[in-house]
Amino acid sequence: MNRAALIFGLLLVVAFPLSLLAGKVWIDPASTPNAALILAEIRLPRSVLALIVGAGLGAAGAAMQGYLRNPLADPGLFGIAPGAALGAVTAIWFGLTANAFVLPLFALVGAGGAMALLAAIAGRSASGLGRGIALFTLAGLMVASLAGALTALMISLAPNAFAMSTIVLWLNGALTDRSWQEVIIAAPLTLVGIVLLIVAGKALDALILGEEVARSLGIDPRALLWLLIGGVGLTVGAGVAVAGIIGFVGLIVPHLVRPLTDGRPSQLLVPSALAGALLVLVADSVVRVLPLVTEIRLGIALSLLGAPFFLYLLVRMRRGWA
Amino acid sequence: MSLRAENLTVIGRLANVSCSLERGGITAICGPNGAGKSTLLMALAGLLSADTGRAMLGEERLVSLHLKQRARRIGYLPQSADIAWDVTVRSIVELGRMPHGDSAREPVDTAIAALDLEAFEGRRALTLSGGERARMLLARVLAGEPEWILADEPLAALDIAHQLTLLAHLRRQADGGSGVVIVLHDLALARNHADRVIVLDEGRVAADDIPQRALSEEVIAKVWGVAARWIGEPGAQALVSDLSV
Repeated sequence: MNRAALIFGLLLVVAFPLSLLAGKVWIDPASTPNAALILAEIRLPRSVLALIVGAGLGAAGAAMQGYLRNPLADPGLFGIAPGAALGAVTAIWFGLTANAFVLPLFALVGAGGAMALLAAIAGRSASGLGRGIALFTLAGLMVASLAGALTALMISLAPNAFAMSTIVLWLNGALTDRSWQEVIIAAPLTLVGIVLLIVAGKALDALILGEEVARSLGIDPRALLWLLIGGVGLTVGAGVAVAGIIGFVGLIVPHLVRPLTDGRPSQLLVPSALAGALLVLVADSVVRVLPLVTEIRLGIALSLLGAPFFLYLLVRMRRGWA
Repeated sequence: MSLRAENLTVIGRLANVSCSLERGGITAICGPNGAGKSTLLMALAGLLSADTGRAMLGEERLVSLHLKQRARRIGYLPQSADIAWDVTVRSIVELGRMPHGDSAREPVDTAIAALDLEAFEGRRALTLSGGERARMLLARVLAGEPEWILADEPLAALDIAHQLTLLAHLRRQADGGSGVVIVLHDLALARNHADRVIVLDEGRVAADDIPQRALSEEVIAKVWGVAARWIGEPGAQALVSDLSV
């Protein structure tokens, strides 16, 4: 295990129990009435879900930056998150939210649709000559724009004000009122997704010197692309399905982890999963503790936190270049 | 085992190119810009499939060789060396072991030592100078212990001292039994250091011979359209051109 994984793993061990106790009402296991029930049915699934969603986004971000050889890449670039969001919005639009499984299911279908579209494009794109990855990224951006436009269309055609506000609220991801049901949906998919990304790790290392060198080292670009579509699709799709859109995690986390590693993409994946889990867990605990009338949405909080931080990173990077 | 191009055609870039290369020597591929040098090298590395014709390693077609197997036998050094992440020099050299599925210390140490990189192995790759970087990238290829080393303009952007150092390393590999194929723009380097030169012109083989014949003044006049003459002793010749032509 590398140093970064150890550091973020230890921080998680400290943060997790604290997150269970944190909230509008701090729980004292000895004196709070029904403490065991609140912990088991409300706090624990929410914290576990934060770990799952964060781990998936962190690993997906690290893999995307490695694949695109670009520190500004984000899992959203493949259009899978907007695809999942479109699916979820469709469920809300048709009022199919009475059963807790229907909305995540629709979101997963949306993510699957985006993945299938990407796979169809990938299946047709020539393997290599340096343009493969660039073409594919543009295709991902088109999938994202299309899904985004359709989502905007559904919002503007919402059947009533309630549906519209539900959609808009849902789009700003949150972990409020989640239960073990969501954990059951997201955990296996995210786990499989992270495993796929870890399998892709060595091939991502080969990309350090570019696509041609990777191919000369025996990497099959198409197999790598499939692993990426599968891995990012499952982690991000599952995350959006249970928590809505949570931005910035995939973008920021690899930057936090990279200085603690030797920089190889394969060495970033597991620590990024742990750091992503930590970031979402802490952010979700903070939004619960803040003394506000209504809880601030996790997606908004992370963007509020993430954007200035990212600006700081950019300024620091520019100083490094100067 | 020979590396061959058999009537290779890549539309717009190579037209019916045939050549057969043996291990144990340095072959230079020369030609004007756009002559198809890099395309031929990539085809010989198995990284590009031809429209017609085929590239062969021994009796096997390169494109039908298993990817890892091909990668173990042919090391390829591209022209541009765009390093995406600031990893250590040793991490870059270790990439050469990827086709073998290991990061065996010994071949990596040997490659690092062969290119005098011991002092740099813990340094970050992006902090190296041009010459150090070129040596690191060649060490990456050597760490894979390939039978063939195919390098696209490995000497471009190097000063003369570093060019000669790198050529000496390549010569050592060739003397050790590897096949070395390099794309070269500098005709004097090709004439003085290669055992054989293939001259490409508009995608066709214009000459394929020992350097003295393949890079004769007549061939240079015909292919590059430059009136030039060789001066100096064999093995240390310089090309001088008459600018009035």
